[in-house]
Amino acid sequence: MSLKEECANLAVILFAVFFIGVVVRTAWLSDSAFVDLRIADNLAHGFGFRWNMDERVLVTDHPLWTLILAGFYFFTEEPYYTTILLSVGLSFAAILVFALGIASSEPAAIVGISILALSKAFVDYSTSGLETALLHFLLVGFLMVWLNHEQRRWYLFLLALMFSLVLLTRVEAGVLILPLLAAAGWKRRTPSTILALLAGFVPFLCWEVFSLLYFGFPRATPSYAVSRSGVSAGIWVIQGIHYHLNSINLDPLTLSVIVSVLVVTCLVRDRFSLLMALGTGLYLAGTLLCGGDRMSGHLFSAPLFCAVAILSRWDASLLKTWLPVWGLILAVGFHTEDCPVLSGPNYGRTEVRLDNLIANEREVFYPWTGLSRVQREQNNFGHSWAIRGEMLRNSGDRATLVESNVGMLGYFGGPGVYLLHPCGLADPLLARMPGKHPTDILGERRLPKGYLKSLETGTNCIHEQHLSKYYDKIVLLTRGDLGSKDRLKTLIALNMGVYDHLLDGYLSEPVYSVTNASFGTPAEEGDPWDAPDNLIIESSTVGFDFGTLQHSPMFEISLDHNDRYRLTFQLDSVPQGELLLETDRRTTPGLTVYRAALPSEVVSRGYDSFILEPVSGDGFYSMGHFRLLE
Amino acid sequence: MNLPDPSRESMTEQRRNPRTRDRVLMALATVLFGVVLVRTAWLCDDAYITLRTVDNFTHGFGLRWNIADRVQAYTHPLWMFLISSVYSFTEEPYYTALFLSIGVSTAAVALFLLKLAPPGRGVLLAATVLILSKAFVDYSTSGLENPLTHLLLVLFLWLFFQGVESGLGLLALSGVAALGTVNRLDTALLFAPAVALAWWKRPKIKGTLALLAGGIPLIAWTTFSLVYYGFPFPNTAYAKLSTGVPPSTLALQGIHYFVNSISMDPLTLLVIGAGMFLGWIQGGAAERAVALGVCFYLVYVIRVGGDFMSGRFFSAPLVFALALVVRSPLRFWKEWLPATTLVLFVGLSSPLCPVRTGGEYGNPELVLDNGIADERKIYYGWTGLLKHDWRVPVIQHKWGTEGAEFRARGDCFIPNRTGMGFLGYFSGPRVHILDQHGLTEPLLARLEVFDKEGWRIGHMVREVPRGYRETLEGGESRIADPDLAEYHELLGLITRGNLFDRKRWAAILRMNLGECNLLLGDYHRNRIQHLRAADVALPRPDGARWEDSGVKRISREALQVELDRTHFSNEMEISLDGNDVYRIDLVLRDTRIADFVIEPESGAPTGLVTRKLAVPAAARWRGFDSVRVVPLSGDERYSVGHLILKE
Repeated sequence: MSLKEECANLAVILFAVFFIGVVVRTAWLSDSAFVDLRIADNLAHGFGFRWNMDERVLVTDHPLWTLILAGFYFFTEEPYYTTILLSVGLSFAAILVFALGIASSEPAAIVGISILALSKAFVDYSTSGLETALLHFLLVGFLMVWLNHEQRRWYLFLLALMFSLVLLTRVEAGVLILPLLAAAGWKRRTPSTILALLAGFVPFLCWEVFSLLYFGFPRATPSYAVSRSGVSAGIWVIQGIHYHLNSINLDPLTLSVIVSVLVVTCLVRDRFSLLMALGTGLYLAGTLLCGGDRMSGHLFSAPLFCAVAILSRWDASLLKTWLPVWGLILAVGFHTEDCPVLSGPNYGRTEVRLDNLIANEREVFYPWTGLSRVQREQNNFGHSWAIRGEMLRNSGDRATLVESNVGMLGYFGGPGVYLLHPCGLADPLLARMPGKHPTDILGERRLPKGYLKSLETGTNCIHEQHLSKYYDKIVLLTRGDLGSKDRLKTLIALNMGVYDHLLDGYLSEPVYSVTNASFGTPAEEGDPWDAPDNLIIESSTVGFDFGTLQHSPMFEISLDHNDRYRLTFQLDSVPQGELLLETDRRTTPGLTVYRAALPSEVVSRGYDSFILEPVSGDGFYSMGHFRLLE
Repeated sequence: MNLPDPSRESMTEQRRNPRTRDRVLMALATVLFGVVLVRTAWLCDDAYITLRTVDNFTHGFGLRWNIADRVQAYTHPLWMFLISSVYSFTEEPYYTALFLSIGVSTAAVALFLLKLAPPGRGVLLAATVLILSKAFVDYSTSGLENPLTHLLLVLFLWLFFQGVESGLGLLALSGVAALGTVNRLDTALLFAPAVALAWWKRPKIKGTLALLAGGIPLIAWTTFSLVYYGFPFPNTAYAKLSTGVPPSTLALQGIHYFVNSISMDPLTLLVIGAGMFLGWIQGGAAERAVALGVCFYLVYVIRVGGDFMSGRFFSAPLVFALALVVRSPLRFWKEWLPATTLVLFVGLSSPLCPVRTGGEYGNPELVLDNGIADERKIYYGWTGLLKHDWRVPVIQHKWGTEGAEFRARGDCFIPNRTGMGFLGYFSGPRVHILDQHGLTEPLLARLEVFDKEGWRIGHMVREVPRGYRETLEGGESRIADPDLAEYHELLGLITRGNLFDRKRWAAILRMNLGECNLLLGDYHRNRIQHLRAADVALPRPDGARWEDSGVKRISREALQVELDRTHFSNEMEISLDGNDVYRIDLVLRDTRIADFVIEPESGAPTGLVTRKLAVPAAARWRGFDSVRVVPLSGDERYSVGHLILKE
């Protein structure tokens, strides 16, 4: 090796070390990482692959990462440094494989590492405690095998194996390398090809079988929660557009590089670039169609790595061709205020800034979980969610909580805390119900009456008959005896959609028409709650449709006296405002007549329907009449 | 590290191929422009004026702004049709206008780099200018017609510089020019010299025929406009040009428009100047024709007083001028490198340079420089793509939320408003809006402003004639001035009458031949009643009847008391009929210095009521030489008892 080559190699190694320096300096853990850590903790303590101790529910969509994390956690029993060190180690390995095994020349490797070090998405999610570092490593491993080991006997098997591991790390990332795998398989069209591919897929197939038998379902609960939220495809696309726009705003380098590489690939047209570009393009289209993610840039680190891999294979024999490209990268990368290279220990802010529900997660959590900020003696990071979790754990009581932020709370709360995510991300029943509103991409669900009590007591207390039966089936799958025949039968039937009619029966809530601004015969104070003319409410909600736009400022309604009810007034099915009606329990038994004023903004915008929802009470809900007042 | 790859050999060949390298460079420059564009994308309030027409058009109400009137409230028919074609599918204004603008603009830049800029250095220089020019980037979105103008200009230059070798070539060239003119009428000045040169070089009869054939889009649109709207030009043109403001004052404002651009966006005018110079000095006849077009256009900008949107009128000439710059022979060391360095330095040193602004850009506070504003700065906070919240369907600017409230309440009439875009679109088709700027209003567009000096360019506020509001609300003419009432009747026949009624056609003919201008002239001459200070110097007691002798009745639009000299008084005492609303203007040399509105007081005696008013500081410092009393609303019995100034 000549001196020039040695210097070039040394420069590459220095750049890789520099990259890792940036990753260590910005290392952090997100709240979602603690979801995996709670499972790892339960696994390591012999409670099984569970999140809430009581039930077998697959909460994570990256089982391979969770299992690897659990493996290390088993030995260390320490969440923070274990996760950070594992992420940093995998990221360093990924960079080394990229620089030494994929880049076609030293300048190309240096340009590639520079891009990755300046990309906020890539650096942020090289740690974070999520599956991304593992995904980067697996992707780069797959590419190295594809590019350099074509002549080997195990070539196809290795490719299929890496592909199946990628699927176990993040299913949708498989599309990035699917064209390469397909091309490799097509090139060797022999019977042994199918065998090699099947053998490589064994880990993925094994996991699917395990998931079906153990959890009762082939997919993770969050994917059911998202797909059944009832949000239309158009809204997901608009959200997906804003996910891309958010990245262009906070981290212009990442998408600029990806799109530039895709465009230039169309002009350069070599086989590897075209196949990779096809996968990357499909992945981006998928991200757009699925509405992206709530973590800014999280879904762009993998396609960026692929784009950089394409770029690094282009001819760099003339160094001067690279100079303007490198200059441009540096200019765009350093231009942003969130540039990771410039980001130090003071990074972050305590208030959350949301852009169409998308958050700069590292900015939010770095002040608490940033490696440069963490105090060794303070295990709970000083974060309120973790502190609350610790308090729950220390109290020793069993608690059932409805919470949106479940990561740190769940981990520090320990196995005694049962957490119910209102969007159904960790709950098998809620995940299969539609969201409260068809435009709410968070997918918050209405809690069925009696569901919380069911979770607290362990017996089915759900009021509505259809849903109660459906919940029995779910319980059998998630809590029943693993080997029972009944469970196996239910497992097949539930996954085949045999019980969907129960869910449909529950969901088809009644809708009544309100004519001439009134409904029902006007009732008096104290009339029996179950008088023949009354509307007995047995479902979660009841809808009332006025048929025309209303602006009346007041209304009158009679309701059973000892319950709480929520009235949500809507315009074109969009909630405009709500009122909570609650009576003093000392009032006369029977119906209570309420007269209430609507919020002024509801009156000025108008409304054409309302939803009546019994919130709490004795379980016997009824309405006498309703009318609008001028 | 140099690994064997079966595809490497051919790839290396391709990369070394200069053609591929140039195309890669062009593609990268276009992507970079696209990224900058997405980061700066926004919509202005005026875009929603067009979007209201688009909404009405696609819902079957015709090409109208207020659905009662056939009035062309947009200046860019072709752009309006393009938006309508997409809007009819999406029924969504914001993303439709923005993504259409981004798509057309990116196509324009890609075509420029591919067809007009010489490969390599030319592409780099052109891309640098286009990315760093605030005017070009700001108006490559905004929702206005500029993106389509840019695309048509590039297409035109490509055809023109290829050389017009046949009648078909001239037809195509004039066709693109006609489309550009339909898209924005004043771009005709850019096209004219080049089209004239191309025509001159062809046999005259064949050339004329080709020219006429190419001009069909323009002829067709003008004919349609005349038949449907009754006028060949958009209503906005009448509103902005029939103001009565002296040409010299407008020209001065036009010069300020240039100065403002130099201060906010120095690169744009620098490149325009360089392009004209290089085109004229180094170029041949074709380049000179293009430079002449730019020159005509710039003179026109001065003549019309520029615009209130900083830089908007310079994006089109920039395209022409930049084409001249990159076509001139630039040697690497002597010209290209210094030029590119200068462009980078001037462009990047400006704090408002597009690449230096992102999602945090914007300041809703209106900062005016001689009436000119950085519009993107004002509206970006409300309509910037990176700031947009798709879950909120109404633009949260106060005009947008007001419009939505009007719509929800079911109001049918909104009187005396300015700021027509968000308000008009979100209030929906059922609401008739009286626009005091006259942009969407056929009668007010043709009225001169009261103040020939104190106006803001593009925002010429008209006084609503007495009885006009009631006429619009009630349907029957109640306009007080007989000349104006007659003029309005003819206008109503044109904008509301049966399209093929003979009387309507006679009215269109009379109106467009200027026969009715006499009526307007009489109205303008007589609309202000002038009095001397001595005529109203005698104090009148409170409660005196409004029609008593000596009390001055206001029979016209306003009554102006001419003072003997310039006064710097602290206080004034005025007695007015007590049950009406008046506006008092303090005027210096025909310019309103200050004004205040007087409302009826509850419990005040009937008849005259005396008010003591503190003179605003502006009028105290600058002085005033007349006082104008404008009745705004009341019982149509308006009068002034006395006016006394206290030093």
